[in-house]
Amino acid sequence: MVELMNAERGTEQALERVGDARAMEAVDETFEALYRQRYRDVYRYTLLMLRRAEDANDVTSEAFHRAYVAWQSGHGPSGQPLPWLLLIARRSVIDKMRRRRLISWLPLGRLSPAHEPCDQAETGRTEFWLWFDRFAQELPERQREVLILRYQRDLDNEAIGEILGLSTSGVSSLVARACKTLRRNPEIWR
Amino acid sequence: MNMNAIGPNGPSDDELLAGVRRRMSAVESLVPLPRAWDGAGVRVGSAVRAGVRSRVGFAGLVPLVLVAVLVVVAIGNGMAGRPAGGPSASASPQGQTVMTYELETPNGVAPTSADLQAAVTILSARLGATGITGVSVFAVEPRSIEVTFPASSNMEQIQALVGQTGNIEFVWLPPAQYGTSTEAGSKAVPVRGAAIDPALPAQFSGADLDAAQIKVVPDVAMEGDWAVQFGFKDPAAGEFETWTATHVHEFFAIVLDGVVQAVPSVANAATGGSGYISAGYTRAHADAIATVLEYGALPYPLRLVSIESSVAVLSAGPAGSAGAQASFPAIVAPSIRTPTDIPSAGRALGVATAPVTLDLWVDFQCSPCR
Repeated sequence: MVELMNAERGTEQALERVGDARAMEAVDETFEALYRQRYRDVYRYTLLMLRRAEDANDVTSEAFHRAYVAWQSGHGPSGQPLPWLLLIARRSVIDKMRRRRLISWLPLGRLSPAHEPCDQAETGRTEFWLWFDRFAQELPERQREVLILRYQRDLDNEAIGEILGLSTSGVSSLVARACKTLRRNPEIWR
Repeated sequence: MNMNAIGPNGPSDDELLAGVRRRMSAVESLVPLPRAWDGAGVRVGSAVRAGVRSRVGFAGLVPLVLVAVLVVVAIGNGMAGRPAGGPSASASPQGQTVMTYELETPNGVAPTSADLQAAVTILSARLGATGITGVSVFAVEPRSIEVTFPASSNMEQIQALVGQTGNIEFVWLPPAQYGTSTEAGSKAVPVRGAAIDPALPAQFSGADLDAAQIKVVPDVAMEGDWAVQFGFKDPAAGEFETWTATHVHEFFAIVLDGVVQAVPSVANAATGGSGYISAGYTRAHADAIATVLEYGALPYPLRLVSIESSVAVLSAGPAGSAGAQASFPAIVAPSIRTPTDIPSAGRALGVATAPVTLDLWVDFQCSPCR
């Protein structure tokens, strides 16, 4: 009788594990779909905030790792997944910026006088970073960030506010101030 | 603040933000495809799965285990409910459509990762330049691209942007065969919508166009229609001017993805290396073509493989009955797959020119049963 009870308990435990494993696989598949769908969105945000591909790689991976851990433990997004992911990424970005104490940044680290762009694609990249450098010089960090987030068409003011910790009207006000800055610097938007 | 307000001395806020968006879209070429999901955060799950495999290997338990799995999953999903905000189907985007395309390479050779990424970048830029929200594009190795968007989006608009390769050509129609604007030739000038004779060589292509000069303008020839203005970059601008100067009164066809869009004749030398495509476009069609031209041609044509929609049709039990809502799981998402085989010419014009096979099967299931 004792042996039978133990066997039953063993079976129950095995069943629980199987159930857990199936549930875990479902979680993995769903999160993997989200990862594939939103990786570029998160990477784009981290790249524009940190302006270094290596850092963007690290921070994006870290953000998805954090998101996955939260997802597994039942703390996934309560609404749309993208603002949730970007909020996690933003925390990682802030951590990274604090660590490296980003004071100034030169967009042409690889472009010494001896290094000229060798093809059209590289010229395009250099032109973009030159433009972005100007963009970053003229717009304060918060204004810059709100325009980076607005670039994501999926995000409305409410979602951006959720990420930045602002009200909807706060986001509108920030955008208005950014527009005022842009109006003084036509070379940024023309 | 009124976002559309136009200041006394300057552009509206919308114009400013659109300008920034256009400049910022160059970042797309710097954003890589997602790396394979390596399960960096899956260590716990993997350990559990390893343990389970050894148990399942015990033959006597298999039937019991299978039955129990069903029970556990059903109870877990249906009775206990899902943890709030937890990882579940409900947390994934609802009401989405996924269009899957394949790159059609010559001889069916798999495209390189660089080509796949280039296609994703171009499509992202095309879609990002429009007002469509919630659209994402990602590559699925080895040759597929998935475009995901909310089911409420305008699918035709998205298909017009995604489905076109964007390969524009300016093809001279020799006067010996096609005549001139003053004298008929032995062959009829091709009409809009016709396929171009592939034997005719292109004089200029989309690679010669200056993206900054591509604009949608009202069609001066037909009130209410819209045209796409374009300009060539150097040195093609000078070559176009020289070419038009030596081919006055002759016809040339403007061809997009093999389909004739317009057949203008050269009235006089096109100084400045610019012109416009007047083809009776609606505003939406002209916008789509301008966007496609602005961001360049895809490395290979795309073939639509499938369209899959998942639409939440019913949330729960009877309205106003909280108890019933708690008891009954949501009925979700009839899965609709539409394998399609639409010829690219028909797709490019938004008109199917051949019969379309539509296989549709729908099953309504409550979420635990799925």
